[in-house]
Amino acid sequence: MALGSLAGLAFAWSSTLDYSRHLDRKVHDLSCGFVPGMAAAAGADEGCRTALYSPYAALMRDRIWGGVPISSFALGAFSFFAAFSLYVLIARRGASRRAVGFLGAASITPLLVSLFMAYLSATRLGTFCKTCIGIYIAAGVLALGGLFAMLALGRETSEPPPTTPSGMPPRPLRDAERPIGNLAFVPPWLLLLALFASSPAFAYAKTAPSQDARILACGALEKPLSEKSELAMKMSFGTAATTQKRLPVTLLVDPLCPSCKALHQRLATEEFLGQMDIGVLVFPLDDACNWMVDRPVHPGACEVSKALLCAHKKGQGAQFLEYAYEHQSALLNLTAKGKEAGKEAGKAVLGMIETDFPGLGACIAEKATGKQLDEMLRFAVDNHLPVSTPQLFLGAQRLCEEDSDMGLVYSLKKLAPELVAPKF
Amino acid sequence: MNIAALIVGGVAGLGLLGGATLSMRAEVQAATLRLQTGSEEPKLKVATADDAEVGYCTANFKAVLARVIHACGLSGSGGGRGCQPADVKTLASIDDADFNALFQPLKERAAVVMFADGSDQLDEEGKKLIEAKWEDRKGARYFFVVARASKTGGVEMNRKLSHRRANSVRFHVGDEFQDPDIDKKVGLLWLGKEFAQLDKDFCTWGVSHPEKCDAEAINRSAFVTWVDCRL
Repeated sequence: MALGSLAGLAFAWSSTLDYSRHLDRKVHDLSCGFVPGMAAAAGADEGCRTALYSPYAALMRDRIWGGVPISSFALGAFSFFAAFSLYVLIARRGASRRAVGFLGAASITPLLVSLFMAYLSATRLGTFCKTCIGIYIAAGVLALGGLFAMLALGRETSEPPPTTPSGMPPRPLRDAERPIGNLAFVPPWLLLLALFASSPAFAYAKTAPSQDARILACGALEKPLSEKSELAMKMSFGTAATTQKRLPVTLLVDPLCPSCKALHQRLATEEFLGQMDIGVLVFPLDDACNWMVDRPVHPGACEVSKALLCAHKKGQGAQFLEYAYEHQSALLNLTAKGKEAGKEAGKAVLGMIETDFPGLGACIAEKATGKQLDEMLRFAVDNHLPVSTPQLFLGAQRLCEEDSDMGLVYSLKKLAPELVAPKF
Repeated sequence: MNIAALIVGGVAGLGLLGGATLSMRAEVQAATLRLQTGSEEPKLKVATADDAEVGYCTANFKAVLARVIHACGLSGSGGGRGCQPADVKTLASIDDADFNALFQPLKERAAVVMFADGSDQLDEEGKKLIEAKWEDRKGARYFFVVARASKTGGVEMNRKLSHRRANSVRFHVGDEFQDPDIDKKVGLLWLGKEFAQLDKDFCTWGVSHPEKCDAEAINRSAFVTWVDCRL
């Protein structure tokens, strides 16, 4: 049990430090692996990063930027179990039945939490982080130790009284060797466990820096779109509560940009997407149509963007954008293969798009579509926006790129208090 | 109760909890310090969205462009729009051969709208060509109109005719597209017969009447193009 607790503590410590490091609003390497604290190889931390930016990594995310990492609770809990296990180990028969029983029963709790988190990872995130797996295994070892302790306790009770040679005084019962202990100790132990579990989280919450000034420091639209403007494509995703008015926002995206897809998914997971009326402007990072980039960062993005404009004209804009995100890898692969075969990147994706959204081909080729795309690109010029995607604007205020992942809930609530933060 | 075990367990528990919490606090404080001082590696500089800038935007080209846009009072300052040949000669310090050479890279981007002899009226072909070029803006910031007049007739008369031709293009664009910012986009330059006459090679460019194009007719024209340069 002590081993399981110490291993769990090490993984939780490593994960909490990773989380804390990101409070400076920068992207850092993660110690994502089965050896706590060891930096992950480049590109091997995808699962951990997904978990880090997920809504399940922290609590109170609408009150503290990034929230309080779940792993900080594990820090305290595993410390408690390590200490209690050590006590039982050293005290041996001196540890009361109540103490051992409490430890055995309580040691199940990290496993239960781990199982719940593993379920969320599997069903909501679709990936597992190695550090998290480390914690799950440690929790399993701890629970197994607890089970053995309970079984040992049971054996002690059911063992027959030891026999003694005739004429000798009877040996005391084994049962009598371990004191039963006082039931009144159980509530203080539970309280102690709660104190241990919450104190690192409390310390984290007290120390975490304020990000409020920085949230407002990423600029604003100099020429925001008027309500009457038809430049942006009005899109709604999900269903809003009937009583709730959707918040108008402007979103600059490249349908083939993985960060845009990630932001879209995050907004959906956090249940913000359904609360927004989104004015979508395309900003393909592809030099085939965008004069602001000197190379095709996302080859084929111009054609896919035009396809989005055309789909929107047919009332399928939101559907197409989600399709492009869902099939982003396939579309990017097609452009890469097309390029190898000497085709234009954009042309390579047209076949797939035409199959899934018949009737867009002619519209994509129209001059008017190219002009509409140019006007959207010019919106970025007129507003002196950074050449990057995605960019989300609440009213005129720009959401900082650094606030679009672990600080998303807090930042959106700051910029638009009328948004309802997720319950979890 | 085993007091020694209790003490060892208690000390170990507090030690582990304290150590973990303190190291976490230290990491949070380090992040706070980085946040406040902006230390560690500088933030990657992201370019700002801007107008297009392509290869032909040489210093000489930009000098001419700048004169037309700014020095000749063209950037939306009301009256007195346009540069005259003398302005270009003086301000851009450029001879007419070099001036025309500047525009050579614009063959695909530009068009030459031809006028009838002595006329400043746009015909249908001319209007269509202007509209097509205006709509093909892409990332360009400025729309350049360089009007000319042929060598037939006097200098002053041709200068005025050239001026009217430039204005015809400007007014047509204004009427057709109702762009409120048009004066911040369109730069007019009218050349009479005394400066930068086009040679017959320009007939191979996009002209409104290729069938009528010759060395004389190509100069009864307005050269229109978006210019993909920043100033």
